[in-house]
Amino acid sequence: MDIQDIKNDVCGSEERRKILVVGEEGFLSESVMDYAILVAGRLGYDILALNTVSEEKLKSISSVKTGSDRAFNISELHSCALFKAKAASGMVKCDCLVRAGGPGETAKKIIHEIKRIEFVITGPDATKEKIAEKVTIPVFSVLSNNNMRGEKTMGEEITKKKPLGKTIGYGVVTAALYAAVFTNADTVTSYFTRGSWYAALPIATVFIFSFAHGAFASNLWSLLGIEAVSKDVKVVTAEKTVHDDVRATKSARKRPRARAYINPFHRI
Amino acid sequence: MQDLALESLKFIDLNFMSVSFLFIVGFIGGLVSGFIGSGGAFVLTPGMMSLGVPGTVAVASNMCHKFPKAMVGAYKRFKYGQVDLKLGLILAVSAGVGVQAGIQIQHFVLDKWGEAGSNLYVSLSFVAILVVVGGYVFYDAWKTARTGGVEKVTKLALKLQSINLPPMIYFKTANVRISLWFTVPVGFATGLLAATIAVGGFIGVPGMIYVLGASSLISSATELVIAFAMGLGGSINWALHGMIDIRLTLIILGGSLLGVQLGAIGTTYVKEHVIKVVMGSIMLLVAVSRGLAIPKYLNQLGLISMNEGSIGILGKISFIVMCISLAVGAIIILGSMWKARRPVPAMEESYVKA
Repeated sequence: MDIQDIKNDVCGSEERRKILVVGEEGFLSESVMDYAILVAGRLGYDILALNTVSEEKLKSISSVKTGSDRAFNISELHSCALFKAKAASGMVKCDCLVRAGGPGETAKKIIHEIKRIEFVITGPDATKEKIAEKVTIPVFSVLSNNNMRGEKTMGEEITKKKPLGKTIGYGVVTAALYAAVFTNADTVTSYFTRGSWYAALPIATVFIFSFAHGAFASNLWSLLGIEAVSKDVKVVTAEKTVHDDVRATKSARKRPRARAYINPFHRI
Repeated sequence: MQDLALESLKFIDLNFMSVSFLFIVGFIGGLVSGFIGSGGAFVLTPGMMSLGVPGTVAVASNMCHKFPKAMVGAYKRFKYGQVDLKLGLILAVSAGVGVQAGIQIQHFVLDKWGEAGSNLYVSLSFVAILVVVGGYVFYDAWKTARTGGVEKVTKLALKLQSINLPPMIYFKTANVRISLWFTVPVGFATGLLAATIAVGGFIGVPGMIYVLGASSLISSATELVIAFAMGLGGSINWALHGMIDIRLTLIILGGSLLGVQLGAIGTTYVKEHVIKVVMGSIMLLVAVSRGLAIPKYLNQLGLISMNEGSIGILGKISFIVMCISLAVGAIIILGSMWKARRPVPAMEESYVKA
């Protein structure tokens, strides 16, 4: 959908209030989407998803030629399609836009072009700061603690079962494999050191062992309660963004907090 | 050569002590390599040789445990979203070329100055590279720790990223866009070092951090992909010569697969600069260890004269320092994991309250 269509759309019927959801570099975490849909559903608002990407990336994900000013829809963009699907299941109207440029500037333009955007929801703090610098409506950031596939809720954490059966199962398999090799050590070494096609034997053996023993080891650590703290992929890149822009973030933080939450030019 | 291997394999008696030694060193080596992307091999090879395993068999068996370990570690860290597969595979290609170049250099040195000369070359490369790179990594880690644990991309990396030399490649996980041509020297040097001192990661990881501009978390995880590719190639080569003692490999693997997963889990507990602290400390200690081995080779070449007794003592100290370096790495990893255990529930609580 073109930006003009969105405008026409809203002009044609009664203008509905909207939440602007901003993603940076084509990435929008699922927790942000879920939260936005939840809030929009409760308030009866629509969602306008804005993905900001750099010029090069924009060209690579779409064959459509574009100037920096023209926004267009690319529903093939994974996060956009996902967002729409999620919104549809939550009975919330959702439109997607992709624009080249930084989140701050593009969000500002969109807010000027499209009426009745009430507030902005975004992912990492760094993006929030960038937007809050440019716009005069409230900006909220939703921290994500999800893994790639999303959906890691507190409930799941608590009720997660310890993989006792798996550990024992893989442990038995591993022990059997080790026993098989070491009880026939002489035969095994004599075959495994023959070279040529027999070279496949040691390589295949270590692969088999690493699958069995690797699975055992993995389950063993889980059983002992030693598990990874965070599996969030984007935390890494988000942190990187913060690092890259550490000065900007610092100076932005010095600004009075209230500024982001006051809206003197709000058009109701 | 094949007969020699068979002969020696038959004569290696695996007793409780040697099995425990290999298992424990395998575990610690795995822990370190799961955390910093490489390590362990530098203790295992001389360790196995001290148990009476011939040098080539020790190297071959060690390499054969290295690639499945790297594979398991890489898989684990891939699940945490730390591995840039594209970067790893591209670097692995140039690393492969580097390995071949390294082998050629080794042959050249061996032909020209004999075994002692070759050993001296290896030790000198160890000391020179580890002191320079390890020193810088350590200094950088200390600087980062002082500024609150926030890593900065180096000026060199930023400069290289800004040079638009086609083909430009975007590495999504590492969040780096850089010309292919700048990845080549990093991969090549990794392979070269791997062929020379058996631990390519000592140059690969700092290369990815300081030259390409990836974070230390991504670099150390991606190094595991390179280690897997190089280890698999090397192991196939050794297997064709029938040099792998599968028993030794499997014992080490038994320990290292436990260790590598713990190390991989550990990376999610700590701040990124801890990876640099571990790597820097290990590299500097290994440099000391190899430095202590230099007089032996100088003596063999007739450049200095020392009596056998003191050379033997130096050799022993050298090996002990090497074991200490691995132990120090393991202690830092486990220590920081232990420390990081506590704030986590507090953080979760605050989420709940919010």
